[in-house]
Amino acid sequence: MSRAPELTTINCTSCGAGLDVLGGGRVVAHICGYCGAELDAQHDYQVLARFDGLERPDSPFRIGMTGTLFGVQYTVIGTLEHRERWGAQVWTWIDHQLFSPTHGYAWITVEEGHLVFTRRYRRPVWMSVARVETSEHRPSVSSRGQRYNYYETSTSEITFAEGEFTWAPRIGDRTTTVSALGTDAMLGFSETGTEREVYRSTYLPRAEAEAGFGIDTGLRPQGIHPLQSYKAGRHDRFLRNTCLALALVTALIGLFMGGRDGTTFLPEQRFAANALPQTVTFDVTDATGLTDIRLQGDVRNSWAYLTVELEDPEGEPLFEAGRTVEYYFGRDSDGNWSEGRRWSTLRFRPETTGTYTMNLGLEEQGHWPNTSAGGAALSQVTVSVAGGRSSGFWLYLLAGIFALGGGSFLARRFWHHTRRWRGSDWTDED
Amino acid sequence: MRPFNCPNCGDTVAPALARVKMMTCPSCGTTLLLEDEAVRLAGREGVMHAVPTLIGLGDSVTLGRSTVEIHGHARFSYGRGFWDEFWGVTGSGASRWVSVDEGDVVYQRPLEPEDWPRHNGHFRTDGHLIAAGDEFDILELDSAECVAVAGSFDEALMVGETYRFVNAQSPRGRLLSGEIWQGGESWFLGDWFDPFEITVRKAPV
Repeated sequence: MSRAPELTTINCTSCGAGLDVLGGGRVVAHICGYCGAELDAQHDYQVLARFDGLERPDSPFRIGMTGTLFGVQYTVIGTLEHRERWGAQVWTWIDHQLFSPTHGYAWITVEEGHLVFTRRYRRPVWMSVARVETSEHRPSVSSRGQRYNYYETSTSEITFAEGEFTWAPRIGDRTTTVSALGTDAMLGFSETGTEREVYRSTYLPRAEAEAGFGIDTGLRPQGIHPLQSYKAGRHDRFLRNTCLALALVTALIGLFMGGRDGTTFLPEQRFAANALPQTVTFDVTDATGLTDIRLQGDVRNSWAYLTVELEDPEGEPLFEAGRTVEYYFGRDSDGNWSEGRRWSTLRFRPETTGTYTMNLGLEEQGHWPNTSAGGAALSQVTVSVAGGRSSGFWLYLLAGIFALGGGSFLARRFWHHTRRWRGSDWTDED
Repeated sequence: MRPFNCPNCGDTVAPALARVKMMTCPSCGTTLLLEDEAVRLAGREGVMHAVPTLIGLGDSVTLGRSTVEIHGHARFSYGRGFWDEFWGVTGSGASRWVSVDEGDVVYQRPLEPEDWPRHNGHFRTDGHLIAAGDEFDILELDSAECVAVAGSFDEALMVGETYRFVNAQSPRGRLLSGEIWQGGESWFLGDWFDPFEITVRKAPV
C-alpha cells in the first residue's frame, strides 16, 4: 500500500529528532538513528523498544540516498547488520532496505566487498530445513525454468538496525535461512512464525551500483561470490571451439603423416648376431622425405646395443649412431607382464639419391641379471630401410598445444564453478 | 453505446467500450453511471494525488502471455496509505483487473457467482476458502475506501464507499480476492506478477 503522500517527516517520539519518512505504506517500524528507539510506524510512532549504544556499521550506502537500479529509482530507507557464527568463524554483512513507489521493496547487501540485490519472490516454491536434513542427495527446486540447488543453511542475528522496515526487527533476532543457488540467482527460504518468505538475490556489479547511486563505494570484493556467474570473454566461445577444432585437425594430419609407409629401399635382411659387423648397401631413390633404418633383434629378457655407421653415395661418413633393443617379460602376482621392445628406428634425411653404405655392428649385449639363462643375449638381427617417410611428431605437439588452449577455457569455467560452490555446506555423505 | 452529453457540464462523452457501466467525464470529472440509454450522475471522481505509478490510463500492459488495455483507474485508501486498481480488457474483450500495491502486481479475472467461495461473511486470517476448484489460505483482511476513480469501468465504483477485502492464496500461488460491500460482493482470481517481469507500453501523450 502506498503511503499517504502528505506524510514526509516525523519527530522521534523518544528523543524528538526529525526523521524523514521515506518508505511506503508497508513500513511497520522506524528505528531512530539518533537514540536507537524503535517506533511503531502504524500506531502513531509509539516507542516499541530501545537499542542503545549500537555502532553504525561502515557502508557506502546511507539512509536517504536515492539511486537507479535496473531502471527503477530506489531510496535507501533502512540499514541492518547481521552476524553469523559457525565455530570460531564469524561473518558479518549489511542489508539496506530500499523502497520504490512503483516497484516496492528490495535489499542491497554489502558482503565482503560484494553487492547483492534481493527482492521478495512470490512464486510457489519452497525448500525447508527438514527437507535438507533428511535428503540423501543435494536438494533442488525449480522455478520459472531455472534449477536451484541447495547451497547452505545459515542462522544469523541482527546486531544493528536503523531506519524504516516492513517488519519490526529487534537486536538479537535470529533467522534461519535455507539458500539454493541457480545459474545467476539464489533463492532464500526463511520461516518466521507462521509466515514463509522466499527472496531472490542476484549479483549487483559494483560499477552498476556506483553509476546508479552516483557514488564511489570504495569496495574491494574478496574472492568469488556464489552469485557471480561465470563471465566469458566476448570471443571465448569462438577461441575455445577454434582451438579444439585445430587440435583435432592437426592430430588427424599428424596421424596421416606418421602413418605413411613410404618406399622400401632395403627389404628385411637377416644376420646372425655372431656374424656382425656386416656391411649393407641400399639405393635411395627418393630424397624428399625422411628415411627410417629399422633394427630388430630376437632379445628375450636381454638387451643388445647395435651400432650403425652410414656413408653417403660419395663415400663420406653421414653419421654414427646406436640403438638399444631390449625385451623383458615374466609373471608376478598381478599376472603376465612385459617391458621394452625388440625393435628400434634410426631416422635421417638423405641429402641426395644414390647408393648408401651401412655398417651394422653389435657393440654390447647382456641378460637381465635376475633372469640370466646363459647363452647369447641376441642371436639374430634384422635390418630394413624405407624412405619417403614423414613424421607426425610436430603436428602431435601442435595438436597438444591447441588442445591445452581450448581446454584452458573449460578449465577456467570449472575453476569458477568450484569457487562459487566452495561455501556450500552440503556434503554427499550427509 | 453512442456518445452522450455529460449531464453536469454538457460536454460530449464517448465511452470506448459498449460494456462500460461507469466512467468519469473527462471535462468536469463527474462520475457517470451508464444505465441502458440513460446517464446518471454519481458524484465526483475524487482526488487522484499525483504519485509515481507503474501503470496509467490508456497503457497497454503485458503480464505473461496476456495483454490488457487499461481503461479505468481506481484508488483505495486504508487511511495511512492507498493502493491502485486498474480495470482493462484483453484483446478478446475479457474483463481484467490489475492491482498494483507497492511493487506487488496481481492480475485477476472476475469469477462468475457459481465459482465464488461459500462463506458466512465472517472471515479469519487463519481460515480457508474453496473456490474455482482450489483451496486458499486467507492471508489478509482489510477494509478500504474508494477515494478516487478515473476513466471507465464495467462495474459501478462509488467514491467514498467502503469495501471489505479478503485476500487468500493457494499452495500453487494463485490469489483469490473478494470485495464485500453493503448489499453485494465480487470475487476475483489471478496470479502475482513481478513488476520487473511485466511490460507497460505507455499511452501516447
